[in-house]
Amino acid sequence: DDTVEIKPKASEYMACPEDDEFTKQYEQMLSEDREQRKTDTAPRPLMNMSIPMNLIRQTKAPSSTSPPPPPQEGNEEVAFKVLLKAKGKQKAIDLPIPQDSKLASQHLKIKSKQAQYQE
Amino acid sequence: DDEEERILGPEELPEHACAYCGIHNPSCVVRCNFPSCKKWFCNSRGNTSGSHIVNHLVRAKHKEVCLHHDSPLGETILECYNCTCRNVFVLGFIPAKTESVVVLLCRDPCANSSALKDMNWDLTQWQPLIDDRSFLGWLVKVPSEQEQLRARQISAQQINKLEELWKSNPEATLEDLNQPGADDEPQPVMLRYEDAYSYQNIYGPLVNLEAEYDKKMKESQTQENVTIRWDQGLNKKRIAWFTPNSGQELRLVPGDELCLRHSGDATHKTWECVGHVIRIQNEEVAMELRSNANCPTDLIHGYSVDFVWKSTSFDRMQVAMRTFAMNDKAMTSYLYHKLLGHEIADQVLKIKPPKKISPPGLPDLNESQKHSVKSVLQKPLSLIQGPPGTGKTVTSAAIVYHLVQQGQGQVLVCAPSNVAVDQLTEKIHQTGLKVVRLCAKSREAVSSPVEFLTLHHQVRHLDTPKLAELHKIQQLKDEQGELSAKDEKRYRALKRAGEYEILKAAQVICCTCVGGGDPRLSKFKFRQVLIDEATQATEPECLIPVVLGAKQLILVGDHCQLGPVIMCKKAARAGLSQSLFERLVMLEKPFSIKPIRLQVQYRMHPCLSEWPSNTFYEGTLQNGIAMAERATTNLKFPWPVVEKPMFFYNCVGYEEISASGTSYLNRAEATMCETIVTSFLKTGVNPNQIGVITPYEGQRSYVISWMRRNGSLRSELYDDIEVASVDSFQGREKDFIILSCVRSNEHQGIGFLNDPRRLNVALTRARYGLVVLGNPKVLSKQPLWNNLLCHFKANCCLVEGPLNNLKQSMVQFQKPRKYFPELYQRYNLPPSLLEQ
Ligand SMILES: [Zn+2]
Ligand SMILES: [Zn+2]
Ligand SMILES: [Zn+2]
Repeated sequence: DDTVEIKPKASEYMACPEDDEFTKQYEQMLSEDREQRKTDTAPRPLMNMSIPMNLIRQTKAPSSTSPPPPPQEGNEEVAFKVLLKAKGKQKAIDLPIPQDSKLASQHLKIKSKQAQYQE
Repeated sequence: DDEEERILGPEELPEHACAYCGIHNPSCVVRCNFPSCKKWFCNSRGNTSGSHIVNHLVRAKHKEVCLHHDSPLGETILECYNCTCRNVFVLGFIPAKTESVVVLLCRDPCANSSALKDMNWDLTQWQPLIDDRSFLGWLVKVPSEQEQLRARQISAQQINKLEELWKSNPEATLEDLNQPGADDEPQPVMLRYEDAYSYQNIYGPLVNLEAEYDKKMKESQTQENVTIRWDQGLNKKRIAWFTPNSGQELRLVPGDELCLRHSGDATHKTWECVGHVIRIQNEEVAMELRSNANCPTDLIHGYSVDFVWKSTSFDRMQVAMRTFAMNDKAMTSYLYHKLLGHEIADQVLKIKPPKKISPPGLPDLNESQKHSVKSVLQKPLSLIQGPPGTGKTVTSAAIVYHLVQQGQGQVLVCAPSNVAVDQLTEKIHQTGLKVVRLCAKSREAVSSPVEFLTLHHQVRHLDTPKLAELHKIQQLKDEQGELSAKDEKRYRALKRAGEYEILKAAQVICCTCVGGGDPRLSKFKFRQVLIDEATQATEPECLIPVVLGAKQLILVGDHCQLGPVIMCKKAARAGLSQSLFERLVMLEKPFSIKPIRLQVQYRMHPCLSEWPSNTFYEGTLQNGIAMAERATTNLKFPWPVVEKPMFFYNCVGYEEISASGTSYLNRAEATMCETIVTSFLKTGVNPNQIGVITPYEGQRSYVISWMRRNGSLRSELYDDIEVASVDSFQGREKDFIILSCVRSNEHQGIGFLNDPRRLNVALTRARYGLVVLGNPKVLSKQPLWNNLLCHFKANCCLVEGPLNNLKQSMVQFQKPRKYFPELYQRYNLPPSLLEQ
């Protein structure tokens, strides 16, 4: 009974010159940095970009038998793994990504198409 | 025993709190990885268009970040999996084509590398790490609405200023933006606060100002060449009695710490010892020494006394404000938002209303008392207004009784003054509840009417097996005076454990508001808190007991009587003298809280309550006592109207500046005061039934010495009559009151008497009879006094002449000057007074 209704207020956007200045700087930074990378940075040789299936499967096996995590507030999550290099060593860490995120929804769409192909 | 109180470390935000808003959920924050920055920021936008971390990176032109080690990915610097580029503005995720795997790559050149096309990665799905000016929500969580509301509210302007400040001072905080300069007027208090941080930003400096003033004033009270009368207490400790040098007004209260010094002579070494004031009797002060060692009891002359100032109470206020801001367990979010004046949906507590409202052991409550008890129980926050003599304490005790019956854990009961806490403790004890009175360690030797309920008494005298060892070692300590280091350590541990056991077993704990910050309560959580005399506590003081986990808060007081006493004028002007109770009443609708008013008074003769009721309480005050119960007809006192034991005496004297140069006195009023007191005494009234009230210290001391020297009866009789300021009479009563107004001048105005609340208190102390001494011509310039004088006149009670031959005064009133209507509106005074 401690929970209470609160009228939203904190996240209401308030326009002001300081914020306009920020958005301008942001756009500028984004485009400058990306342009600079395109022109200044020579393509690098790809270093071991293959998916380490051993790492993926290793940790994936148990999760396929266990039930998926319960849906959260109507938005189910997809069990992803993030591939990282920690101190030069490859690691795959579990990270649930909401189904309605751009990344997860696109990925699911493609996977279901692939599944149709295979059938 | 005398161990110094350790102030608990002030509540601090963890290192990983957002440097803008303070949010510190590890899943919601990242660290800026710029070598000289390393600050943390959250992924909420507040009311700006970018999240806090993005705001910072863009404005500071920093580009690398690191995740928190408690976040799902652990402590990880975000970088391109292939080329280790760390510029977050060019990084993004790509998923694998078949597997549910993602990897972080820079868009150029790595994610556009032709070599990658043939592999299992889906390059078309590259997702930038920063999207729509915030980090991807599944990587760095956006704090919940609740978390954001509880956080420090920071605007784009403030962010901009703070980023500028960091360029010269990387350690600066948002608070530094608002710090006033040394000579600036402090920022005034407000009615509503955006968050508890801005609340703290306003009140923190005010508390500091008052603390500085208090320190300066107390430490300036050094007394030289003092003569000591040596004595010994029942606990065998040395007691030094001394009379402060005259001509200097000493502000001492029991519990104050002093240092007694002697510079030594041919046969004595230099000596000094600290101790506490335990009693003040007829201007003589008793100081209990901390240690008897080497005490030069054969010397009586030539001592010095210093005041040892303690910051404890001010420190506790600061800690309470920080806890309010930073600890979301300090109180429910309902109370948090309500106290800040936010709009929030009403909440009703699900409790079964009790069948019988009047608790055992107390007199039956009247209807308005019952009504307030009932409505308070169901509300998480309520205010009870108790006008003079309406049984505030009994009502509070009844509420506490029912709170305990709900079984939600221990109830904390506080008041700003020790006297009020003692009174309430006694009433709560009468209901049969198990109550413990927690006193400050410095006041343990100060006698109290509820001694047997105090923690320090119980820990010494309660006979339980657990306390047996403590009692043994205590006996040893009492006999020897000191203990070996090892025994002392054991003694302290046993005592702490004993105190904890007793506190834990209590149903109710009573202490002053400042006492709520006692380290002995630090392990306790109180869901239900009642604060009596809440209108006499400053806001930060009131907050101390509330931040111990409150879910239900009851403030009892009367904002139409005097508020908290603030010594520092700067702090008072800025609003430190306004209580939380008063602010909650003054808030505009729908944020304000309407106090529940107790409506039946049991103190005053009905003719004495009439004007205060009409003026301050919209005429709602009813009389719970009949005139017959307050009859003074058998008293041969010359009341001008026999059935109305009151009069205003037209006293044409002159005000003078007192010897101290800071106060006023009025000889004519003092003379008349003695005549009236003598007349009361002659008719058989006891000295302890009479009180003389005056707003001025100068007049107070003049009246005392005048009566002693010139009273026609034995001087001891006059010594037993209490002569005191209006302020020190608040909360108390006497059978007969003589009010000496003092101010009598053509142009300077009436100072203290201007405050309607002070007038209300002064007029409502008497049970049987009231005499006002003043100059109607001067006082009538002020609308409120004008109204009062009209009231006396209409009742044929405005008189002049010798006491044994009083005549109706025909004095002409002056037209009231224009007055400050806002002051009246604050106390809901009737519009008729505003128009005059
Ligand atoms: Zn930075
Ligand atoms: Zn933030
Ligand atoms: Zn790269």
